[in-house]
Amino acid sequence: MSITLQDAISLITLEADMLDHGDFHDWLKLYTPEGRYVVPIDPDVEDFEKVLNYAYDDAEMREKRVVRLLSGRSISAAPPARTVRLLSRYRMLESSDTHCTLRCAQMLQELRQGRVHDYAANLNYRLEMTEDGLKIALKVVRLLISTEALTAVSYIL
Amino acid sequence: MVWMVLFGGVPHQEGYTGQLDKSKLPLISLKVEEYNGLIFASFDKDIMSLDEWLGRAKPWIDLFMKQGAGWPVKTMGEHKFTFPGNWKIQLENTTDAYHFPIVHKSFLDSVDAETQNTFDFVEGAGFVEDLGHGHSVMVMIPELVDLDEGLDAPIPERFAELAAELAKDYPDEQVRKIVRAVGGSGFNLNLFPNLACSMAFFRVLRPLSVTETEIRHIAIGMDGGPDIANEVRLRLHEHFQGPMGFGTPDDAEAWDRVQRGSLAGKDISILLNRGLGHEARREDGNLFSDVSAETGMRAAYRQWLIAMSEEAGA
Repeated sequence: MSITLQDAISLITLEADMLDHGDFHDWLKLYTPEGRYVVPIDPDVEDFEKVLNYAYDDAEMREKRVVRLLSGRSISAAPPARTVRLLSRYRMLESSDTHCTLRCAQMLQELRQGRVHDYAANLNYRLEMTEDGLKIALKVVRLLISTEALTAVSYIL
Repeated sequence: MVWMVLFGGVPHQEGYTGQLDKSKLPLISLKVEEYNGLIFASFDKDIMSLDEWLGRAKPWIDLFMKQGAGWPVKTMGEHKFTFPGNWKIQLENTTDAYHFPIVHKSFLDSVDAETQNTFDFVEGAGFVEDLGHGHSVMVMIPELVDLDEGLDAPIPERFAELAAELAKDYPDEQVRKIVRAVGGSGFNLNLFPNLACSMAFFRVLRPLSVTETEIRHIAIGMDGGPDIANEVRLRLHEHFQGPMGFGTPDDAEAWDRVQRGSLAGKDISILLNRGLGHEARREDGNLFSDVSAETGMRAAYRQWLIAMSEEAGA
């Protein structure tokens, strides 16, 4: 049986909840060992390895990112930014019993140092069915303003 | 009509019935000169030549361009971000060594012990040197000033995998040259007012207002060099630089705090005297002091004062 849209939504909204509430160690477990978390600059790029991105994280870099956010040794993350994100407009693009790809919209609001920033993004996911259930093999955060000047983002989009 | 120029010409010119002399209404042209692939422009037609302006900074640009490892240096994309502070706060940062072990603790936590050791330069043999015209250089890692020298030094562990891959296609000496280039130069060169050749990337400053600055971190690579080596450079750039790197957000946070601190009052001193007590002069006239000295900041502010007071008097 193909992976259902409902199963996929359950996983990625769980991820959104964990990221807003700082459950970063649990967040790491949502990915496959070969999984990637990517925030590209170029809106059209697919071959992320060949170009400069804001973030192109394999398992090792994701773990380092989490250590950094929780260490208290990064002045941009201590105190951390607070975020609220909403996911919506889900569409399953392809699904089988082993994997699926879907995309959705993400509206995120960040509060840090008394300043509010908004980041709208299209999220593209590739999910894979593993022995431990459905996992994230690829998450691509395509920020609406990716080619504009951003401000520091010391959290996970 | 200025808007019309953007569309490639003046529409319905007969409407001006002979009162339009386009030769008297050109776009503003700049004085443009190039040095070693870097293009500079000025609104001031009477400004000294670029050769004279760069002066004693030129040999450092040449050293920086050795990161092509025998190929031309190319740009490979950029990170662009703003911070809510004055541009001179960032200008100070490029030849400031002593912030590194404090502001970038979390970056240092994320690299191996050998790399931590390389970046532990504040107590080291490096130096900061005033190159004239507001330019300065901070040498953090003296053994990585000239990338063509010391090629027989051991390859750092973090580049062992890259070196093994390169060895399939390149002779040993070239492998070493490429790997050294990937690691970047051991110095930051600050070119007044707004360009930095900073270890392994270019930094361009653009003041947007008194209290807002845009910064571009431009990644560089080897034009025609091996893709795997250029990809390692991209990953290193992403690791530290840009709004989601492990270094830049902490710099931006520090600059934000400096800007807010500057609002504390007009009579508060800003100390720029670090390293002054043991500052000395080289034979060519350059002032220099230890790696954590504020010699580079003093150089930049002297030039800034000249620019501001001459303009004010004009």
